[in-house]
This record gives sequence, structure tokens and C-alpha cells, in this order.
Amino acid sequence: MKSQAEQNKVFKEWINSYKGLLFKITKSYARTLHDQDDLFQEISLKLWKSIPKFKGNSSASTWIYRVSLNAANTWALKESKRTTRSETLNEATHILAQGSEKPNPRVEWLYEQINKLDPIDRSLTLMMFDGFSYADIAAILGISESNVGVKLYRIKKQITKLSENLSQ
Amino acid sequence: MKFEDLQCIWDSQNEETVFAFDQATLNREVQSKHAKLRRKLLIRDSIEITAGFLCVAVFTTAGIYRATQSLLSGIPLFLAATLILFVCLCFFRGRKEQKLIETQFDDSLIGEIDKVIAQLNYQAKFLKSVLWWYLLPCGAAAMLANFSLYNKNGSIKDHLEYFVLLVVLYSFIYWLNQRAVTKKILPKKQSLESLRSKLTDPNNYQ
Repeated sequence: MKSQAEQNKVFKEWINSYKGLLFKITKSYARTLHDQDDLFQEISLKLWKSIPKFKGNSSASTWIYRVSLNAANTWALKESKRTTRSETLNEATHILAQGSEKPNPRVEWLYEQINKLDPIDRSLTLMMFDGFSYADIAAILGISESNVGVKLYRIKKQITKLSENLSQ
Repeated sequence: MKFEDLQCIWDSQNEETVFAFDQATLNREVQSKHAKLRRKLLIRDSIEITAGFLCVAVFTTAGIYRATQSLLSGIPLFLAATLILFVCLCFFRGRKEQKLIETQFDDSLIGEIDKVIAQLNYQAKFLKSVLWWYLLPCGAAAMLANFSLYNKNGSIKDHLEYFVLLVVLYSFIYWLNQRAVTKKILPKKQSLESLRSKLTDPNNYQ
């Protein structure tokens, strides 16, 4: 059992080391800054709560990816979340602000395409681009490696086809 | 464009400068949200249980007072207290079972989906049987209390009016609960089941 101080220390380390990963998930699931802020806070809360359960059986990055994707998928599936959020937006504290760097239009286009996918394909696409092995993806999603292979083959095909418009 | 080119685009992003945020504010916000959630759950549970036990205490005290005058006149109030106690225990059992569901699934995405489906199944079962564990006991307790406490000298017509009012009110509550099952819980469950089937079946691809 971790004390709250230890939990805070681990949380700080995780956020510092893996903020890039969290930003990618946040951007893939939410398009407006308000939604991204809401999702980022939701993911952070789930990560903080998950710290006592982390036993080190998998790497920290796999664990963080798993918890963050679960949080993002639940967030995406939440019914009537839009109205609830808009009601609480004014009261909520905003954490995220737009970064200083100008967004790359090609990267933005890719996020847009990922955002259009359903939550399952979105999770798969993110893990594929981030170079996770089939075994890790299978463990994070809870499906077989061969199933991961079939799905990734189809997603690659679909996203490559969509990119034809980008290159024109 | 080839897939490798898309991978290059993905890798080209400087992921750390996408957003700016203050770590201390995030820490504070996460802990405050966690505390708020815990407080909210505690308040919700406390209100239900306290209201129930308050009714039990009132009916039991009134029952004891009545029983000192005539043993028979205390019985309806003891019965009402028992019925409300039964409702409180059902609430308590419901909370316990929902907490138990949360521990039964693994941490994978499919485990998360299965957990939510199991929770929805439980909620649907809980609401579908609301007549037996909530409406009938509460209705009977309200009738008994009206009969022997609030309106003990009332005519049959008065009791009948009260009964009709209770039936109308409880029918409306029953309808609201069943509507929640058909309009909210079941569609949500279906969408999760189709998501699950998409995840587990390699041939299921839209």
C-alpha cells in the first residue's frame, strides 16, 4: 500500500516522463481544447487512482497506455457527456493551454483521421504508430495477437487509402 | 502515400510542446476531483441510508408508544419499520454488489468493457425489480403509517383516496424506472456489446 506522498511522487514522475504519450491520446480522442482539457484531467485522475494497483508486472509505459486508453474510451463512450461538460465548463479549472509550437498540418490531418475512427480502431492505430508490439497491444486490449494482426492490417490499408487525398 | 510516410509524419511531431500545463495545478486538481468524487458517493449513500433509518426509528418509536397503550395498535407500525428496514438493506446490498463487480475484471480494454456491461446488467436487474424491493414495501409502509399514525381517525374514503394517490405516484416512479432501463441502460449495453464483438471477432469489421 503506497502512502499519498509516494502516490503523488510516482504520479509526478509518470506525468513528466510520459506527457507526450498522454498528449497524443488526448489529441486523438478530443478535438477542441475544452474537450482535450476535460479528457486530460480524466486520464490524469484515472492514472493517479491506478498507482496503488501498479505492481510492476508490465513496464510503466504499457501500464500508463492501458489506463489512459481505458479512460479515453470510457470518456468517448459516455452518454450525454457533451451537455454535462458544457454545464460544468465554467466552473472547471483549466489545466491545458495551447503549446507554443505551431501545429504541423500533416500531423493535424493524421489526428483528424484517427479521431474519425471508432474507439477500438483509434486505440489500435495509436499503439501501432507508437510502435507497440503485437503482444503488448494484445495484452492492453485483452484480445489475441492474431486478432491484433488482422485488425492492424485493415487499419493500415484504410488509413493509407485515406492519405491519397493528402498527397494530392 | 505509403504507410511508412504516415509513420514518418507521426514521428515528426514534437509531442512535448503540443500543450502547456502546470504540474502543481494538475496535482491539486486531480486530488480535489478524487476527494469530491468520494464525498459525493458518501453523501449519496448516507442520504439514502439515513432517510431509511430515520423512518425506521420514527415508526419503531411510535410503535412502542402505541404498544404501551394497546399491543395490537403498535403492530402496523412495527411492520412498517420492518418494511423500510428491508428497503435499506436492499440499497446496502446493491451498493456492495456493485463494488464487487468492479473487482472482478482485468485491466485490459475488454475487461473494462465487460465490467461496464456487468454493471449495466446489474442496474437493469435492480431497476426492473424495483416493484418488489422498493415500491411495494414503501407503499405498504406508507399505507400502514397512514392507517395507524397520521390519519388514524379518517374514514374509509380518506384511506381509499390516500391509497389511490400512492398507486398513481408509485406507478409513475415504476414507469420512470422501466423507461430508464429501455431508453438508457439497454441501448448503452447494446452499443458496448457490439464494440466488444468488434474487438474480439477479427471478421467483424465495418
